[in-house]
Formats: sequence, C-alpha cells, structure tokens
Amino acid sequence: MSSVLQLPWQVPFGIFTLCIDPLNIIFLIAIAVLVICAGVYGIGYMRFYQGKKSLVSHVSFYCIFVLTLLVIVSANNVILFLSAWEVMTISTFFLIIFNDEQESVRKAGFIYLVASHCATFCLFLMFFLMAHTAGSMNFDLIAKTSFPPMIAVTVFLLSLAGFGVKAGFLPLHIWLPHAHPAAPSHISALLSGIAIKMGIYGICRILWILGVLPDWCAYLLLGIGVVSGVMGVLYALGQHELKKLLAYHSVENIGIIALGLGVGLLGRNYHNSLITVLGFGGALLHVVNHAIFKGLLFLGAGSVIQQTHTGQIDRLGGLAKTMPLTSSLFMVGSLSICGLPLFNGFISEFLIYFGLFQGLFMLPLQGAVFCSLGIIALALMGALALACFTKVYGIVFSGEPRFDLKGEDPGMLMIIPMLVLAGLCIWIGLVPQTMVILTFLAGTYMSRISYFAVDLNIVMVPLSMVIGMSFLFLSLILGLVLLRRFMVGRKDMPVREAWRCGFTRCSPKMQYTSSSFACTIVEFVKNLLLVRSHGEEIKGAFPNKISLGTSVHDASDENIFRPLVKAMFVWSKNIDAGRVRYTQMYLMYIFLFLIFLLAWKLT
Amino acid sequence: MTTWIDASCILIVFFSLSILATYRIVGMIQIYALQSFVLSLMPLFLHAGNVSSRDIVLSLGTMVLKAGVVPFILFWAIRRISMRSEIKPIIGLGSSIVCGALLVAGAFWVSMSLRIPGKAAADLGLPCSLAVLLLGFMIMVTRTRAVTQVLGYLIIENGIFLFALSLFDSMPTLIEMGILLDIFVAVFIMAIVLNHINEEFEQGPDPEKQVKPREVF
Repeated sequence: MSSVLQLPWQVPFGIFTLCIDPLNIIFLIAIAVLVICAGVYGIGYMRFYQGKKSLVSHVSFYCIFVLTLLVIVSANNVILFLSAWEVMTISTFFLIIFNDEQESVRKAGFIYLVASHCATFCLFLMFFLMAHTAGSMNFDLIAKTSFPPMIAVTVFLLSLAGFGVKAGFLPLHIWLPHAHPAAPSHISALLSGIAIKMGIYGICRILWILGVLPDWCAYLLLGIGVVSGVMGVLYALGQHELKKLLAYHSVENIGIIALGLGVGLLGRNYHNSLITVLGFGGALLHVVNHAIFKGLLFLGAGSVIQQTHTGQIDRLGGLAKTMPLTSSLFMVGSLSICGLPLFNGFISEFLIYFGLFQGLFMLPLQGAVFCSLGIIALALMGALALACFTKVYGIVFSGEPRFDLKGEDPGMLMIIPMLVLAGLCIWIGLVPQTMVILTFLAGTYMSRISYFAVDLNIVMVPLSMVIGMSFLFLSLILGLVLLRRFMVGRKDMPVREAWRCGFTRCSPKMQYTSSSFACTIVEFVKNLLLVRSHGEEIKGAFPNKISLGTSVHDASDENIFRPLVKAMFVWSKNIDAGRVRYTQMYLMYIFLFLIFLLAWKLT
Repeated sequence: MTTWIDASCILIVFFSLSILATYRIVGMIQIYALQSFVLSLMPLFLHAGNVSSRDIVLSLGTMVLKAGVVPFILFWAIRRISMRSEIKPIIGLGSSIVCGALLVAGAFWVSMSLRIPGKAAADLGLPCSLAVLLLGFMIMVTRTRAVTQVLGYLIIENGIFLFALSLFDSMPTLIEMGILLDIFVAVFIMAIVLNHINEEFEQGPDPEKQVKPREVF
C-alpha cells in the first residue's frame, strides 16, 4: 500500500492515512464512474421535486456519502475505516428516506438502519480482535502479522456476518428489497452499485489481511455465493415491482461475486495461482461490471417510474414505442446482467467459469466437487436471469400499453449518464483487456503472488475467441435481416399485434402478466419461495368475474427475522412486566451505582 | 478557626441526619433552613479570621437564598396546595437513621483514601460534604412525597456547596455555579406549584397513575 494523503487527526489510535493499492483502485474506479453518472442523472431526476421539497439536505448527504465511500475504500486505519463506515450508513439512511411522507419509506429506512448497526457491531468485534492480536490499528501493519488459526477463523466469520449484511448475502439481505424501491432511483443505483460493494470490499480486505485460512472457509464462501445467487434470481423472478426485482438481482450478483471470491480462496489454499487469480480477478471485475450495468438498469427503471409514476410491472407495457432511447439502453443493461457475450457481464462470468473449470481439472476431489457445483449454479443463475429480464423487458417495453400510462424519453441530463454507462458496458464487453489486466493485478495482490506468475494468455486467447465468435454470429444474423429486407423489397407488410395466439378480439389486458410469465419457473420451487396465490380458480364454463394473483414472499424475512423480532418483543415485554416502576427505585439504582463507582475507584 | 469549620461541618451532617428522622414536612423544611444558615456562615471562617468583603457578600447571598427564600417558597407551596403534612417513608424512620449512619461512616471511610491535592488529610470538610451528599440522595430515594424529593435535592446541593467550600479557599466559579444551581432549584419548586402535585409519587404497577411523575421529570 502506498500512502497518498496524510492529515492530522486527533482521535485515539486513529491515523488519517489514505492509501492506494491494486485492490482498492478497482473499487475507486467503480465509485468514480457511478457516482458521477448517478449525480448527473439525479439533477434531472430531482427536478420534479423542485419547489415541493427541500433538496439541500439531499444534495449535502449525497456529497457526504460520496466522500465517505472514498475514505472507506482508501482508509489505512481501523478507526478511520469504522468512522467513515458509520457516517456512510447514516448518510445513506437519509438518502433512502427522501420521500419520508410515505410510511413504507420510513419503514425501509428503519430496517436498513437496524440491519446496518447490527452488522457494525460484528465489525467492531472483528476489527478490535484483529488489532488486539496484531498490536496495531493500521491495515498494512495488521497484514504483516500471522494470525493464529482460531483467531483467523473467528475474524473471517465475523467479517462474513458484518460485511455480509451490507453486501446482502442471502439470509442477511432483508434490508435490500425494502430499501432499494424506497429510495429515489439514482440513490437505488448507488446503493446497489456501490454501497453493497463496500461489504465486498471489506471481505476482500480481510481476505488480503488473513493470508492463511482453512479450506472450509473457501467452501463456505462458495456455498454462500451459490445460495445467494440462485435464491436471489428466483426471488427476482417472482417480483412484480421493477425496483424490487432489480434489488433481488443485486443479491444474485453479490452471489456471483462471492462465488468468485470463494474460487479464488480455494485456489489460494491449494497454491494454484491461475485459479486464484481467475477467481479473485473475476469477482473484482464483476464488482465493476455490476456497478455499471445495475446502475444503468436502475437509472432506466427510474426514467420509467418518473414518466409513468408507477413501478408495477403489470401496469406498464409497450413503452418501447414511446420511450425508444430508454428502452434500448435498458436492453443493453439487461443483456449485460444476463451475462451474454459482447457485453460486460459475460467477461467477468467467463473468468469465474474459467476458474471453476480449471479447478475441476487441477484440484483434488473435494475441490472439484465444489467447483462443479459452482459451475452448475452459475449456469442456472445465467439462465434464470435471462428468463427474468425477458419478462421485464417483454412486459414493460414490448407489447401494448395495458393502461393509459405512456411516457416520453426523459431529458438529456438523464439520458446522457445512461448512455455513458451503456457505452462502458459495451466497451468492457468488446475490449476487455484493460479491465481484465487491472483486476488480475488486484487478484495477484490479494493472494500475494507475483503478477508475472500467471500467464494472461491462457485466459485472454479463449476469451477473445468467444468474443470473435459471437461477433461472427451477430453479423450472420444482421446479414440475414439485411437479406430479408433485400428480398422483401419495399412491399407493404401487414402489421399484426404480438401475442395474438389466434384470438380475434384481443384487448391489451390479455397480454402475459409478470405472474403468468414467471409461473412455470416459480411454481417449480414454490416451497422455497413462499409463493402465495390470492383469489380463486376458474370453475365452470361461464365463470363469474374473479381475480387471481400470486406473490412471492421472502422466506428469510418471514421465517427467520420476523419470528426473531417477535420473540425479542415478547422477551422485552416480559422483562418490562417484572420491572418495579416508581421514581424512587430509579433513584436508588443511580445511588447504588454511584456508591459502587466510588468504592471501585478507591480499591 | 478550624474548630469553627469542623463544628459547622458536624452540625450540617447532624441536621441532615435529623431531617432523615423527621416525620413532618414543616419540620424538615425548618431543619433545612437551619442547615443552610450554618452553611452560609462557613465562608466567614475560611481564611483564618480575615474576613474579606467578598466572603461577606457570599455568606449573605447564601443566607438570604438558602435560609430565607427557598424555605419561604416551600412553606408557601405547601400552604397553597394544602398537602398532608406527614411524609410517607418507604423504610421506617428508625431504619432510615441506621442506614444514614452507615452512609456517614462510608463517607468517612471513602474520604480517608481519597487524596485531594493541596489539602490536609485531617480536614473534616471533605467527609462531611460526602456524607451530606449521600444523605440527600437517601432522602430522595426513601421518601415518596414530591416536596421531599425537592428537599433531598436541596440537601445534595448543600453537600456540593460544602464540598466546594472545603476544597478551595476561594473558588469563584464553582461557588457561582452553586448559586446558579440554587436558582434552578427555585425553578424546580415553582414547577411543583404549577403542576399542582399535592400527593406523593405513585407507586406500584398501575399504568394509569404512571403519567404524573413522568411529566415532572
């Protein structure tokens, strides 16, 4: 780590030192790109509120948020890190509750605040345990100590719990689907693109500090990745609200990143530098990629919501005709998040796939089994994500409008940031060399091996081959389209509605809804997802007017955290009932404590 | 002069104990006035017979405020809202005195090992002030009437005043802060009158009766 900025700071054990190293530069890139784009977009987005609400606090919390992000990533001191972390949590809270006149928004903010503070408790324990063992509060000095195995494992588990809440690992993700829809769209983009990545950054930093970890830690990380990824995308498939759906996709992508980190850790344990670098590098590249395409998707969703004033997928439809720019930019984001070639999501997933396949061949049996599990899970995630975004794009942008909700493309202030992000998606997708080399540098740095220990060409050659092949395939399709144009000539072609299915009198309301589209997949795993249907089945030849809908509920929310909170309420009520309440009793507690303090100080 | 200081210190502790042993509120206020009167004489003895004008002003100010105005307001308050004149102790008077005596002993024991810079260890001011403080607290804890809470608070305040006097020969800021505290107490007393608390602080788990004390504190 090379220090770049040192400022005087009068805090016990705290040193204000900012450092740059190959690991945090990746995160700095992601922050810089998304913060600027979301900021410019926000100017356009918040114009709607001008004169209705004070924007001063929003803008100032935005600036504080950005500043703390930069400090968190580059801090070289535990106290500095934790202070910035707390300030970030609080400023994010105020950004989320911008529309605080709605009760759901206040509730979402509260859930976020409680979850974050529970997580920070774990972080305090973890950092102080580390600092106590190392005898220093500075990361570069802590990294030089070798930790006893018990402490290393405890630190690792605490970091998974503490940073996992921020990152949104599966059972701990409950704040995400509440907070993302509640916040203004550019804030959701930042939350999903950057704020949850701070959890990933923390885990990366801990992996860098703890040079040696037992094997099962790698399997645990891999398992967390698989579970978060698959469950995240399944939950996403069952959602009917645009931003909530995107929020669950964040859980999925965090799963992919965790999977990559697990592969990297596995490689590091088996001293296989190629797998290590592929895993860590792929995960870090996915951090950047996810920030870019998820930012793009949230900004696109924000444009839709701003124009139509609803995020309910089933109320929208046919927006591609009235919002051509937004819809094509959303398409770019969707293709990227599905991990299709020529877009950036593919590159990072390819690296992780490649690492997993290498693991399949080069690791002993146990590792190979987990690697094959990872491959299957990653493939499943990709396919389900494709289904999910087909649903979103198909229902929101194609087809016919269901209700009288039409929008236009928003102004240039909102379009240009999305254009920039889409351009970056395609740039990384087509010319991945720069970013891949940067992330490999970080990967080698994280596993403390020489950059030259890994031959880049082993990956880059097949990667460029795949990109070339998909390019060929694309040009083939384009050629066929042109050929059709040429053959058909300028003849008038009859225009028909899509999804007509042989009916003669169709209404736009007879289109597929998001429930019906996802039904086949969601029904398949309905026990995991807590699918509930409202309304009744159709019976008889001439049924009356009935309604039917399904909704997917979060199992970890309903089966773990709500019972937990309820039990805590009951418990504290019981304590409360047994309490003696009159003023003199409280005074006596104070009195006894005073006497205790006096006696304790003297002896 | 040290004899005078020690004598008044012991008197002040004695008055605190006798407040603990008094059953009627009027008597308690009278003893409090006496205690404050003795306390207000203390600045005159501090400089070994050299009485400066500052000491006189301080002494007179304390006397007027603590031995005059505050008891007067208290008397006026109990007359105005015509409370019952008996206190309602949580523990009996006998055991109160025993506990009080134990507290005084504790205060002496604590101050034996408490080293205050620049002061002779044999001084009675420090243990007495601690004892008055603890006794005041004890009155607040064991008596349930609203007025006794205020009296306990006033006795604690006297203890702090004594502490300041016994520690420093002349400590303008601390003593001025003490006088400010007195004004706060006066406001406190007014709050009682205005809120018309003419009964004791409720006890027991009856939730409807919980409202009153919370409004005051």
